[in-house]
Amino acid sequence: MGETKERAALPRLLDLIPDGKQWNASGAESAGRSRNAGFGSEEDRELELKLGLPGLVVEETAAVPRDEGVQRERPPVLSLGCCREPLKPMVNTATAGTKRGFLDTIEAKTEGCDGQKQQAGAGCGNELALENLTTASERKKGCCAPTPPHAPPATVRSRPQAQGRGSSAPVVGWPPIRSFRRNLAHGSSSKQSTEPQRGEASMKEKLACKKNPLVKINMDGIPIGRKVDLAAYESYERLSLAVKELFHGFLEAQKDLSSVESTQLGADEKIFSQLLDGSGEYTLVYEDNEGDRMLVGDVPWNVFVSTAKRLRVLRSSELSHGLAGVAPRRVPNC
Amino acid sequence: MGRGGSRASPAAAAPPWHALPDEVWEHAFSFLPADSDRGAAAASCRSWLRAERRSRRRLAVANCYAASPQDAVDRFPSVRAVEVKGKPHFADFGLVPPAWGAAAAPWVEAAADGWPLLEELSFKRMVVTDDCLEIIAASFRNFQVLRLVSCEGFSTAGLSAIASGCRNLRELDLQENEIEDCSIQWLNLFPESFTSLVTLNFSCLEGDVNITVLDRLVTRCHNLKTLKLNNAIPLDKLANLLRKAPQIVELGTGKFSADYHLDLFLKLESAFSGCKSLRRLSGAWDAVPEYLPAFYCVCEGLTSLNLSYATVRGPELIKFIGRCKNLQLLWVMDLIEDRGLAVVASSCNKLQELRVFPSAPFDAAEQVSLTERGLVDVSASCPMLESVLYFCRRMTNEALITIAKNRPNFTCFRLCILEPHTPDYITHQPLDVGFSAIVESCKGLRRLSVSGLLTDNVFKSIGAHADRLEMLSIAFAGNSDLGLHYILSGCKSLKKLEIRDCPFGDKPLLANAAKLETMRSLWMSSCSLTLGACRQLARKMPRLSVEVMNYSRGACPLDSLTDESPIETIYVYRTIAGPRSDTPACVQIV
Repeated sequence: MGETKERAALPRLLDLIPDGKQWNASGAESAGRSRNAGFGSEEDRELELKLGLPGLVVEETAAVPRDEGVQRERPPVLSLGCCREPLKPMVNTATAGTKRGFLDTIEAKTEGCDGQKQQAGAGCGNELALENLTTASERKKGCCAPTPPHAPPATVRSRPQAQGRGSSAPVVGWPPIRSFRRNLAHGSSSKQSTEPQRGEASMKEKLACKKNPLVKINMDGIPIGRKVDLAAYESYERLSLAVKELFHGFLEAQKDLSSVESTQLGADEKIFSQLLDGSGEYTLVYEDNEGDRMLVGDVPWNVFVSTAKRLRVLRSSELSHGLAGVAPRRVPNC
Repeated sequence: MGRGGSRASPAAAAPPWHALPDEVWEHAFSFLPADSDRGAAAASCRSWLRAERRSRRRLAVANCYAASPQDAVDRFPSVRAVEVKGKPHFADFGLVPPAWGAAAAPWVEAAADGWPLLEELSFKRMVVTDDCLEIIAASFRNFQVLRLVSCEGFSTAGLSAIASGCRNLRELDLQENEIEDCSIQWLNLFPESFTSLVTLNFSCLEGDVNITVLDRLVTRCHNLKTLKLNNAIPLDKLANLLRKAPQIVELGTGKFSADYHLDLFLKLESAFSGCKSLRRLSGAWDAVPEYLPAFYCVCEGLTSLNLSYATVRGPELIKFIGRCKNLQLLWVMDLIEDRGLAVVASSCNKLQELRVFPSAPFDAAEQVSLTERGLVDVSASCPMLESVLYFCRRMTNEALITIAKNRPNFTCFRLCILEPHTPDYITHQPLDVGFSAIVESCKGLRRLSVSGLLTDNVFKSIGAHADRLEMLSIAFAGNSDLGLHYILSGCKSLKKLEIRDCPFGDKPLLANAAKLETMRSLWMSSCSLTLGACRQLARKMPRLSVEVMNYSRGACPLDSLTDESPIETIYVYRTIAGPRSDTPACVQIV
């Protein structure tokens, strides 16, 4: 339909699209032939060279010299009628040097892809954020598993960079399950996998396990939140280190983007070093099970783990708004 | 037909109804509910177009970028109910960049200006901010229904605005949204005089709600039919709530676990036995087997049971489901296993929809005995089964052929074999034959998801036979461009096509460019496309918007890239609004 206009506008396409009905015509042919004809004749020659796919021979029609009107008049005969062997030499002569063997093309292509991916990963804040997001969602899986919660994400984390496409190891977004369902699923099934869990003991254990799910943690100025498994840290100190781990990358990324604040290198250390005593740039607060916002560090660690609903890394300057009347206080802990 | 008549004899014998005043037509059109019928009628002549335009009460926009909100408001001034959908379906699985777009704000603002009488608003996969919710609460005099599905960007503060501002609210339906919790007090803001609520669903909310306030709300809303609680509502509160609302038809329980106490069990049981109209049950988070028998007294009445959040397994689960003889819809985790599905097959003969979700999607070692067997059993004995979503680890062609033979009435068949490229585990052949059998036998199939090891052959079959297919999802399948060509050149009714990790390249896309204009959208990620093809496509089809997402390159402008550059993701959709202007850095329109 739009085809006719297209031809007028793009004469270069013309010589490679002998007939709009090509697809149908080739469909009627035997399988092997139709492949050759169907695809070889369609598109721009340059594109074609880059796009070879396994199991598909594209060379034949492209090999028809572009400027020879007579030959162009009979591509159906030529492309459908010829078998591969006689054309091979033509390929070589006509496009000397520009074409490569099929396998070469493919290999080169995937290499190229990976290379670009990796190289691009370095400078770009966007990419970093995405990557972090992925790992964040992967991490959720760690909840309540009998295996140590850190182990599985670690293996997954290296994935986005390391794998080429089409590999069978886990991939982002596969299997197609929404993220909340993933958490749900993982938290549960593992605990009751073998015995059909009877009796108080197993039930207790399960309930205890359910009590510390992953809690959300957000940081002022960072649009993307993370989740942490509080039970995995044994003390406030470890938690504060973990918080640094969680958001350090985002801060870096932001600096990269604005590149203004990147003056002091030790800034990060500073930002995160005094999370717990309210004297640094940021302070860690949490929302307890009654919905009140509290300073982290006041209660024994265990009590904190069982009551914290979510965490927030608050700008200390905001403290006065969020916690009006509550003086930052330091209680020694664990 | 009106057009045919007037054409045959231009001036002389115009059909008598041409003289009818517009008001009559508008009234007549109010008896035409289906969008497709209205569209067809509006296309027949000017006066019908006018009448249809003015009398349209419901508007569904399947892609928020397909038309501009202002155009929608201008064209259909009398709309009362709007549904707008945003992000592509793959957003559900994290394949769409978080800041992709689909802001609800332009729609809300246009609606606030142009449709002051708006009563219903539904958004799906859109970014709805608290500001949006505040505008909604403030702008529509008689606002009644707010439905947000898989949305994000708002918090309980926005919900507070809705609760305090929408005095006639009937439905507040929050399904699977990401909601920021900033206060548990939002329910308090429903005024004490407020009694109109029919549906309240906050099952996706993570935080607590004030139970006392909820209790009062449920008590005073006598028409409450649907109540879906979140995981934060403990089991002992459920019994109290139910006693206040025995008229309930649809219930999503909160957390369904607690230490076993006989008195709590009895309390629950008696609360449920009072709910004579209960038909649909969901929730049951963390359900423990000890409390499942509390449901027994409502089993007979249930037509819909969603246990896909319930991580319970074992004989108690199977016994419970086996008692629900009138189920039409069943969603469960694979913890039900084959033997559970065998019981479903023998007990639930009215089943129409079955979904089985994986409990350990990433853990192949997890021993759950759910195979092709379960689905074969259900398909053999549930004659009304027409919709299936089934996650499993193994499948055979033989099973698929049997299923296709058993149930030619499938309209939706989504099979997900968890490990990509898994062949028939007995013959080690691709599953081409099996899926071909499905499309050949199920003539009414509208939605299909394929998985496992598949070659181009299966797409040949799908293209040739799936004439009614509207949505097709493909992952890790096919072996050449031909696969995509078969689909695009066949599948007459295809509206949405989503493809990931398939070796499909430029040629079939360009060769079938015209087909894309008849479709709603095409998603391809991790395929073999180049920028050159996207450029050609955009040039060839000016009414298509061709969006390119190259995550790894960030904000690198397209102009600086050559035609050969590989493209990670494209999303193509038709639009009458032109290219959108709100793209983030990682999305670029060709």
